Amino acid sequence: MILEILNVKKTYQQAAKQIEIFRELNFSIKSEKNIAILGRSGSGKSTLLSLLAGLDKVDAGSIYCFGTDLGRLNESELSAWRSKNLGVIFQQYHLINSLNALENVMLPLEILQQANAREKALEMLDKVGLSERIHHFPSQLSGGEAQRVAIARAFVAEPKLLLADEPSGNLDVETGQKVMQLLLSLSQTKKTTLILVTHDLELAKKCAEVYELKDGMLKLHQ
Amino acid sequence: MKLVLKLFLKELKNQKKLMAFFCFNICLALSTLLSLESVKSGVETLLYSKAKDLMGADTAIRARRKFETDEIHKFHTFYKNEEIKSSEVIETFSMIFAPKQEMSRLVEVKAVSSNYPLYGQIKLQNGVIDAATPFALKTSEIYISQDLRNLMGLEKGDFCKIGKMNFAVVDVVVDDSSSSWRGLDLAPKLYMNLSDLHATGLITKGSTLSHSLLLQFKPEAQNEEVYKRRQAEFYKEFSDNTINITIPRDASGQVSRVFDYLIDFLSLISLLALMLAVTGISFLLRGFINQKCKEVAVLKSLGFSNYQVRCYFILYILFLTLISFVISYGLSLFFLPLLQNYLMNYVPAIKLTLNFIVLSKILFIVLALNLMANLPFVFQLQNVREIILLREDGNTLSLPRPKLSSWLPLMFFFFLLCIWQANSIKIGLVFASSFLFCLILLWGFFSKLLNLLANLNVRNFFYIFNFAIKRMARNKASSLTSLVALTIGLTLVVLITQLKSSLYEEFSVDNSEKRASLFIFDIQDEQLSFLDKHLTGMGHQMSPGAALIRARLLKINQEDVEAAQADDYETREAEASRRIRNRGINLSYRNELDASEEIIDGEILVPYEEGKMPYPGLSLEEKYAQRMGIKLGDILTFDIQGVELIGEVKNFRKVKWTSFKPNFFILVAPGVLELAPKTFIATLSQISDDKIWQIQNELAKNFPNISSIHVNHLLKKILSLFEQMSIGVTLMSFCCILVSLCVISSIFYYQMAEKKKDFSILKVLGMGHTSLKIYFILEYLLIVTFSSLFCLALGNIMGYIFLNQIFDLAFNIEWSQLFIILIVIYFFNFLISFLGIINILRTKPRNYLLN
Ligand SMILES: Nc1ncnc2c1ncn2[C@@H]1O[C@H](COP(=O)(O)OP(=O)(O)OP(=O)(O)O)[C@@H](O)[C@H]1O
Ligand SMILES: [Mg+2]
Repeated sequence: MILEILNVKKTYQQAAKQIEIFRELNFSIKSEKNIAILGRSGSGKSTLLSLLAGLDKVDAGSIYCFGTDLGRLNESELSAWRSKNLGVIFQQYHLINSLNALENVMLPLEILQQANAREKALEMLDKVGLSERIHHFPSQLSGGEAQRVAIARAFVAEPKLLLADEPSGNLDVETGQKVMQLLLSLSQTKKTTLILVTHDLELAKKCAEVYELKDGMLKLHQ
Repeated sequence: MKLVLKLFLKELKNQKKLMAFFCFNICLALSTLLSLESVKSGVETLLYSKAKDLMGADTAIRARRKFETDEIHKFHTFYKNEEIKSSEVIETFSMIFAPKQEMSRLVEVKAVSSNYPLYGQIKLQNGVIDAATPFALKTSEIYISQDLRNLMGLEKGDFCKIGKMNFAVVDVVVDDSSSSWRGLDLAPKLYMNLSDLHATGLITKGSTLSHSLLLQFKPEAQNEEVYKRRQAEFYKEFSDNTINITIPRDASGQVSRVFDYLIDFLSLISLLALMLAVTGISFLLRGFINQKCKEVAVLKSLGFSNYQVRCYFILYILFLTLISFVISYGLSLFFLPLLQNYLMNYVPAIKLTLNFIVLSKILFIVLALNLMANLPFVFQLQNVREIILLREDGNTLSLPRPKLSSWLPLMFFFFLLCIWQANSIKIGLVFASSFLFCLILLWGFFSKLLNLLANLNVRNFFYIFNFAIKRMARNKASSLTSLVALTIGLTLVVLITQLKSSLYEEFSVDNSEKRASLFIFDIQDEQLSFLDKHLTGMGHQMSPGAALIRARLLKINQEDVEAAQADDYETREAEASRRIRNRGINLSYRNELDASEEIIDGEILVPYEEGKMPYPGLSLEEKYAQRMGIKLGDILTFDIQGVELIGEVKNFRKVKWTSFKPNFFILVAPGVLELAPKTFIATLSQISDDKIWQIQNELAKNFPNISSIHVNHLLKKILSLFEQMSIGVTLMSFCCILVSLCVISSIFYYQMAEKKKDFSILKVLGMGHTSLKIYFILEYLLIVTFSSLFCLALGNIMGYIFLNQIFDLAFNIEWSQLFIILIVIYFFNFLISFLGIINILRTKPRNYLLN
């Protein structure tokens, strides 16, 4: 079992009123595969990812990831868990501005205190086709390049679960497609489970299964 | 223009953060400067309005010798058109002996004739003395000051002996308008009749005294113009440069001299604080302008001219400056009453207010500084082209860096400000160029250091450490500004601590072995050998008596030395040189130099033999020679009680005045002055403080006309005064540090958004909270550490240069105090960064990262 979401409830307090994002969400991924999640704006896609990444707490219910109940981990256990199991890719790339491409990619390995961080990071950058850009800083990279660095950073520690929140949302169509291609092929070769959040049905269809988030429920998309 | 204004007003609402940081940065420095200016103008007004009370006359004629009767007659004749009333005062030093207390002390005797005081008042315990009810002391009666009463335990009705006469204490002076400044006197004061003074036998040839003729003018002649005109005419008529004419304006200047120096110095430091704040503001505004690059491009593409863009940003600078000025004004209104309470201990009548002139002066300064510091950035905006809009991400495009030369006007203005605040070209220049030198040095050094660190990769190092260093090094603008601001603030504190501790060391009682313990003066020619015998009888070895011959410098190389009149505005240096010119001079001779002096230029003096050499040789103290503009080989002409003496300057001497050994500005070759009328000065050394009191008692009984100074006792007094003054300086330097802390913390907080984003990313990547805390604190502490290391080096080097090279004092490093200061600084920085980090740790990464 890779992921199991059991009776998850999540509400947000907005000013005086409470909005309920999930009342009783149930979902599971049994074996390793790529999954796409579609949904209207405000349907709770990003909220779901933040729960899966342990960045937010559920109000009720539980989330099991590779058998671990995320709700039971304290702050430092969560950090350790994230560094070992999780990779995240964002729409705005979110690289560290004061580090260059190589150093950004090395970061997850350094957090894990792995010995040959530099070699692995170089190898990873080579895979995403950025061997020429390793000493560039984020401000010196184009959007597509920055996102490829972010992908390299997400994969370099070989996480078992990868969350991506509209990774091509900031890019033009062509570049976006290239980046998605890269993402999918890498997740295939690295045997990572990818959960991809997107608006774009065409993109979603490249994944093994497509779900739609609607009224706080995840349903298979027809 | 209307459009610009509208745009500005709209945008202002979004810039609360900028406004807050702007004010936070500058308000402390600004309100300090305002408070100082208010003290300055408060003291000036006070002294100006009280100037007549202070000097007690419309015009005072004064010399450091006794006037002859016919001289006084001539003065009266000269002022006969203006004068309506006059009074004579002789001030001298003497020992007072109190039989009941079995105690003797040095006192300042103020002997006054009838009519005293012409102006002002003296409050006694029982009654008041002023122009309407002048002094009415009977023979053998004295008034003593409170200080004297406290010192000796004398009470009303007690008897005491001064010179040959016995006196009764009839009252105690509680308040005296002629000495508005407390605690600056060499010895406590007492009042007696002028006729009594003559009967005490204290006044003999060559005694140390000052004789004044105080004049009250007719009402129609009581104005500045008459005072000045008559003063000038007097100097023309009486070419005697030992005589000084004081008019009320000069009197206020004299009283406040010490205070003025202090205030000028404090103002300089507050200028420095202001500069630091302006540096911080520059950083903030640069960030702000940078952010606006894209907007500017949009505006330009809509047809905005460069001129309009500039107006927009200048409007910002003006507005922000004005806001912070108003806040600072409010702050200083809060500070002023506190300050006033404190100052009233020293200057009871002081009133601190902020008048319009002071306010507009400071507003002008701060506006000019802010504009000059930030216009270079504003002008760079003309290089922003609309084309950046077509790039993918206009936000990341940054403003081109302005040329260094575009800050030249700021630097020039700063120099002018320093000179103006210091009232001295020399001090102002030294101060401003030291600051500039430090700034350039630090900027260059830290810039190199950061470049180096940016590419540093220490293997096997804790990665967080590497990471923090890189972050610091690569956020160059903010790190550099923080480093420089903090280091300059710290350097100042280190420097002042060092100067203070070195001065303490110089005057400290522990150091007394190298100094005289008792300084004896006014020894008559015929008394010298008796005194020596007497002291030897008591088991003390007196130093050989140093002759003191009163003289007047008439000519330098045939050119008359004239008494100079004060100009309307004069720098400190001009004032000092005027004072020294208007003074009679003491000459001496000795066969061998004292241990406290050494020749630094020229040849040693050889005994004068008439016929073999044209003139006897002269040896001058170097600083004196410098101020008088005298060079080696110059021919000086003196008048020694009617006899002319011509000598040639043979060498310059360096004198260690703090040794309290008898030393003189001018020494004459032996073989010339041996027969001239003279008194002697002598010292006793290496005697304990208690013993000195006993010796003073003994001397007062046997040699009533001889006065002596208990050196350590006096030094303690000076030290405590010095300590009080240094409180101001210390506070001010801490204010500087505070300003630099404000600067770096506002930079820290201004980058909060960026930090929160980094925090979120690192958290998602799985970095633990402890590591994150270490990481953020580390970046901050690195800056503090680099600054501390550098400020220690720089502060000590500068301290050494100032003390050792400029003031000739030993340099003494006070490690323990420095250590404490640094600990405190670390603590504060830790606190600031920690509070910031708590704020960061509360961030919800989800809000920062996910859409
Ligand atoms: N921290 C928060 N506090 C209050 N309400 C929140 C918070 N975060 C999200 N919400 C609300 O929760 C709802 C779901 O937000 P979420 O970001 O998950 O939507 P989404 O599906 O990712 O939308 P989009 O496609 O636009 O990114 C929204 O209505 C949002 O306003
Ligand atoms: Mg979203």
